[in-house]
Amino acid sequence: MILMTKFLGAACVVTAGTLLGMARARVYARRVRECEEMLRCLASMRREIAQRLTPMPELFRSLSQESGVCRAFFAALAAALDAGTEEPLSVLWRMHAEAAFPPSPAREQLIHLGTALGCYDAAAECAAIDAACAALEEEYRRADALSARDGQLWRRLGVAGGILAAVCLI
Amino acid sequence: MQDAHHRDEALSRAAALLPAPYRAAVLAERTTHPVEEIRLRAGQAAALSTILGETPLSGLPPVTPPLLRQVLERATASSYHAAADSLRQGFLPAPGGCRIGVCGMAAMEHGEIVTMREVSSLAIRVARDHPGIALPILDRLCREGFRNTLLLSPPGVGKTTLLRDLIRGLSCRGYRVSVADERGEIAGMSGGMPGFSLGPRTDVLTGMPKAQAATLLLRAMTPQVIALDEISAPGDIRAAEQIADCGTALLATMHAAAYGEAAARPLFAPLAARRLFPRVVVITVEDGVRRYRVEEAS
Repeated sequence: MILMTKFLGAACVVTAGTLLGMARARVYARRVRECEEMLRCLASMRREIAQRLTPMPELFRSLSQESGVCRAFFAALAAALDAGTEEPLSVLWRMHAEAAFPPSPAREQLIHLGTALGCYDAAAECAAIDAACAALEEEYRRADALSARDGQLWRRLGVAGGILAAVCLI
Repeated sequence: MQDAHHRDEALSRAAALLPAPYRAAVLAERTTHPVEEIRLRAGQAAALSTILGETPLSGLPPVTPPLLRQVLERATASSYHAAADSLRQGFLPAPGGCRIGVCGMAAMEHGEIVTMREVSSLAIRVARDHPGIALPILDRLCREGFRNTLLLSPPGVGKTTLLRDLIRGLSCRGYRVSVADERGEIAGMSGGMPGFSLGPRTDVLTGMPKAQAATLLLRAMTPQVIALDEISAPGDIRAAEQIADCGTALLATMHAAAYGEAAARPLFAPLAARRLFPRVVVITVEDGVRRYRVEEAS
C-alpha cells in the first residue's frame, strides 16, 4: 500500500515535471506562431493596400475575421477606428499591440510599423510593411531555431527533472 | 425649428472631423446664417464662413500643422493611401458628403503632382441639403421636356445644393438620371448608400473623372439625364459634348456670374458655339437670400 502510494506520487511528480517542461517549450512555439501569423496578416494588408487601396477600417475588420493570435489585435483596431477615437492610428496601433501580444522582438517590429501607417500613400505604406516583414522573417527564423533547440531541451529537462524528483522522494 | 435642427446635424457632421476643443467651439458659435464652411489656416484662428463672410472663432489657440494633419487623418479614417488620388487634385471627400479643400506644398515629379505635403490650410465644406428649393423653377425647366440646363453662380453660392434638388426633382418626375459625382459631394456616398436622397430613378458613379464617367454611364445605365458638377477642365467639356452627341439631356454647373461671362471663356467656347445649353439658371444672393433666375441662353 505504501509502495503503491509512493509510485503514484512519483508518477504525479514526473507528470508535473513533464508538463512544466512542455509549458516552457510552448512559450517558444507561441513566438514562432505569432511571427507566422503576423507575417501572413501583413502580407494580406500589403496586398489590400497595393491592389485595392482598401481603407484601414475595412482592412482591420477583414483581418479580425481570421483565426489566430492576431485576431484580437485587429478586432480592437477596427473597433477603435469605428468609434471615431481622437487618437491617431500610430497610438492605437501601439496600444493594442501591447495589449494583444506579450513582449517580444516580433511585437516591437509590429509596433514600429504602426508609426508609418495611415499618413502616407500606398507605395510608402507598402515599403514600410515590406521592411517590417523582412525584420519579422528574421525574427521568425530566430524563434524557430530557438524553439527547435530550447523547446526540446525544456521538454527533456521537464521529464528528467520529474524523474529525478520522483527518485529522490522515493 | 426642424430646419434649424437639420442644419445643426449638417454642421455636427462636419465638426466631427475636428479635435474636441475646436468641435465644441464650432457647435457653440451662434451665427445669423447657416455655416457653409469651416476654415482652418495654419497660424490663424479657426473661422466659420457663412453667406455674409468669415467669422473667427475666439478662445482657441491658432491652428497648427499638427492639428491640420489630425483633421486629415480623421477625414481619411487613417487611410491616406485610399485618398491620395483626391489629395493630388486638392480636395478630399469626407463622411456625410462634406468636401475638404486642401492647400499646402505640392510635391511634383515630371510635371505631375505626386502628393500634397505640409498642408497649411483646410476648407471643410458643410454639406447641406435643402429639399424643395428647385420646385419654383422645375416646372419651367421641364416644360416641353427637360433640355440641357446650365447652373451658374460664383463659387460658394449654392450650385451643388440646387443641382442635388434638381436631380431629385427630375428623378421623382420620372426621368432616369445618372450622376457623375467626381468629388462625392452630390450624393455623399458612404458604404454604397447615398447620404442624400437623389430620387427613385437616380444612379450615381463616384470618384471617376467626368469624361470617363460619361462614357460608362451612357453605355451602361441608359440615362435620360446626366448630371455633372463644375465644368472647369477640358475633360469636362469633352464629357459634355459626348453626352450631347448621344442625345441625352445634360444638367451641369459652372462658376460664372452670368452666361455671357461663361461664353467668353476659351474653355467654354466650343459649348457656346454649339449653343449646347438652351436654358441657364443664374443663382444670385440678394440681402442674404438666394434667388434662381431661369434664362433662355442666346
